[in-house]
Amino acid sequence: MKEIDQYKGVWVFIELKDGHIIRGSLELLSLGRRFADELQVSLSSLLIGNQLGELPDELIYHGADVVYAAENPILERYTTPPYHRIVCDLIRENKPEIVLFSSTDIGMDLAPRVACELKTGLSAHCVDLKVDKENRQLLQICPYFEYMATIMTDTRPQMATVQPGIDPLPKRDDSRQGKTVKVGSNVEPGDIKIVEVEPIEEEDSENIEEADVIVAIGRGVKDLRPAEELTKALRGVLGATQPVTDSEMMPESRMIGQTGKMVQPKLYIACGISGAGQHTVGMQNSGTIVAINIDEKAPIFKIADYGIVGDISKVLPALIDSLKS
Amino acid sequence: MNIVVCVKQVPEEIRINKTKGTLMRDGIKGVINPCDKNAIETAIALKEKHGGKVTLVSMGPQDVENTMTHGLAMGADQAILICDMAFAGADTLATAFSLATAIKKLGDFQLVLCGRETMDSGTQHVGPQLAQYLGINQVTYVVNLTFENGKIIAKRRLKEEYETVEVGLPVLVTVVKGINEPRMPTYLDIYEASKKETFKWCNADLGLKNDQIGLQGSPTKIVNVFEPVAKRQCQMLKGSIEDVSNMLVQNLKSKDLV
Repeated sequence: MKEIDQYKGVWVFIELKDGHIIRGSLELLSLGRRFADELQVSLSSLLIGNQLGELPDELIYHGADVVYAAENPILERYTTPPYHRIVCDLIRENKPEIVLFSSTDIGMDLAPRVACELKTGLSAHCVDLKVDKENRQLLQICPYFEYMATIMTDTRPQMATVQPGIDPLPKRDDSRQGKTVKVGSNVEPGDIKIVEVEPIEEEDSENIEEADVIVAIGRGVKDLRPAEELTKALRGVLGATQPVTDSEMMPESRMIGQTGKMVQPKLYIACGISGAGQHTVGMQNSGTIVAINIDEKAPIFKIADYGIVGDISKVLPALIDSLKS
Repeated sequence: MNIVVCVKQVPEEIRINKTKGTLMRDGIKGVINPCDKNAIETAIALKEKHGGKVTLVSMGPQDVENTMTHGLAMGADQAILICDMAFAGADTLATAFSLATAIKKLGDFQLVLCGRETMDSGTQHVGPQLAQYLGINQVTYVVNLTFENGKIIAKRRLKEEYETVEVGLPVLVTVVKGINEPRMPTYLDIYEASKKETFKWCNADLGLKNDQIGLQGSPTKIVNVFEPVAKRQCQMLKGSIEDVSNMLVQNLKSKDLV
């Protein structure tokens, strides 16, 4: 038996926020369930925290066969050392073939460190994952600028962080049975001390995540005014791609995409946005998408309902005129 | 406090060689990865207050030297360039291993600073992986950092909250863009930087086995690069600018969107 054939089973790492399972973790359960069924193995979830109560059962109702539950006052809030220790030790002991994390603050802090200790491969911000049943390979599809890249790992476990907000939520079925295994009782607290936690006060008066209409600008927009005027005419909110917020033309609170916000307005007007996957992952589920770009080959047109090829500085004023008349 | 700053040179403009699935670097100017400048600024500000030495470490091709000059002109004391064809094709794990080996060889450091992510791959992996290889703590997404009573006080910017942590040395910190405004070196700074030392280390200096570095030492492989499939049928509006604007507004009106 080859070394990698000893690895069996699909695992998902569960994150809690204020005592609740985050949406991204539930999405991982539906993704993990699918892979576990395809590979004919069990789906395990790793739950770390304090005062877990009914949460292990909830994970079973949402698709887990096994819940590894580490419950300890020192695990109340995430810090890297004890969480890292628990996850690494459990993976070493149980040898799962796939381990999935959400690409959140916690997932992105923890997964790379775990992958490094285990000397295994990790892909980042996956937007699509598939299994090749025959070879028991996880095909990890990530945005790669204007393209997508498929990544594979020749070591085990195969690890990936998955973009939240893409996979459906699993159905809750409280007749599902599973087992809970208590772990990590003797974990050391580590030497990172949390001194203070405070909410981020958004200075921004408008919330892009709740907008019905978003006009978003990309690097192709040099002058903000026409876009602002169009936004006003549509009673929408102005959004931007990361290069625009990085250049400080727009505040970070308006960034849409992988490192920014995930939005789903009824109408999304993409101005001068080429359509890199890092951006489109955050807006592709919008109701109606309009793309305006000077380059007719821009990938944004592939996810748009209406396309206009033209110079933003000329198209936007004309559009404002049409709206007014 | 001796500080190591990890720096990456990235292409100024992103273009993909679709058949190879790799970033095109030929003929495209290399620049310092944007948040690495913030990491350098953080290091220089700490050095100005608490003393010590700032060393830049980068892995990349020969021409990274120009990028390093920028960091030296900002005020770093020396630079180490890890440069060998044997390192080519490294994924984040192999990169972190090579960087860790170089930093250990350098020795005597208390703080390692990295940018949160690079603009050419954006995985955010190298910081935590480097910390693991160095066997030290990591603090990610830091937006404010001070050194008090022998400890690092770091404010982390998370999605919905700020979390301030206290941690002893040595530690690795990844910084976000908002932490500071990187200084612009003057011509005099750039001239002075040319007198500072840049050491070039090849693999013979680090003594790593081929299966630990570069493509061979990388557990992840890009198997293909493809264009995203069309998810919607895009109706391209054609005609004069006035015509297409009117057509779009009519279409949106018919869907009750405007």
